[in-house]
Amino acid sequence: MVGSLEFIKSATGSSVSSFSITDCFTDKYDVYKVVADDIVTSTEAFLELRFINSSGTIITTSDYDFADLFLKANTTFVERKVTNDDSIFDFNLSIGSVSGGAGNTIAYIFNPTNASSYTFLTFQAGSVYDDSGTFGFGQKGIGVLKQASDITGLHFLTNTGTVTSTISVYGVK
Amino acid sequence: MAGSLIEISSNTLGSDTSSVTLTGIDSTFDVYKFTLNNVIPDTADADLQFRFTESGSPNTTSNYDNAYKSLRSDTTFSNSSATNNDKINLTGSMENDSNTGGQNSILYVFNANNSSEFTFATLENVFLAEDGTMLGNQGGFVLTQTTTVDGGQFFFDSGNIRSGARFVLYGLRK
Repeated sequence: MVGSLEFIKSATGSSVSSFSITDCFTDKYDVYKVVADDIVTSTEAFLELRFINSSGTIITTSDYDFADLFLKANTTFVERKVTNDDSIFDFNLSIGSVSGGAGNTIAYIFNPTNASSYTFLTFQAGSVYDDSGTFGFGQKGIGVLKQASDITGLHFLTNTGTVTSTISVYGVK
Repeated sequence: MAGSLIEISSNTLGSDTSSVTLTGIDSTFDVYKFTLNNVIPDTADADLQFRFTESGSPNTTSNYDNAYKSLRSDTTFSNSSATNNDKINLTGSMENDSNTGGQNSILYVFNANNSSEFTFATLENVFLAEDGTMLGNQGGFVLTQTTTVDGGQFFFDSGNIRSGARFVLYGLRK
């Protein structure tokens, strides 16, 4: 029996400040799963997400909203919410420079190639962060690009330092 | 290699429709998954709601409990919970603009076809309110009845689901 979760492509960044996964979204699917595991950063860093449109342009306009809950193992949970940002800033946070440190995010992307719809995502993560010690935490989040654009790719960038990771995209048929 | 996420049934609406029912849950799998995308009401401020089905008919008993953390981009998050409801609210009030994509959800359903256990589900979704605010729920719900569930029904508390909405039911291979 043919399955309905189909691997599309992956991309690897090795000690880079940004990298892209181009042409991973098509009209074949409406829902995509993005798996970003073993995100190793050179210092504690956010891994931000931007979308790439069908012209190949990385969208840097302030049309991103996101909201996420940091479920911290060592202290009070933290709410984060931003409107009109130029990226999904909180796609992942981790301190990958410590031994065993890494970030891991699973996201679902909805309607990216539908030029009559905004592009939405939900995401969750399990990572470690620095709070006078290294502690585990989870993230539960949502986001939207408030542009009715034909989105065909993903662009990842750090807010500081570099990242090494392989990120994969699957279609949910 | 064969895949492990198996499509059971789906419905992409060709016209505005009052409700969508997807069935096909049986003993083949233990875990099922619904995906919803581009689900938009034709009436402003409608809430998307859900019931499990038994033999294709919705279970309308007051045996649904839910608890969510409701995330939003504009202000403090809130807790959303209820017990002994006759349905599940998957969203709060939604906007009805057909150009913004409405509501998108992932649900996992557990033990549905096991008549000796309750039926559980996890939910994550994202949607827009009438004023354009982004919101989403992260949490779970349960039907506190030991019944044999075979699917689910989606509907708004007022008006119809707009054409173009897509609903899919998958099974996760054991």
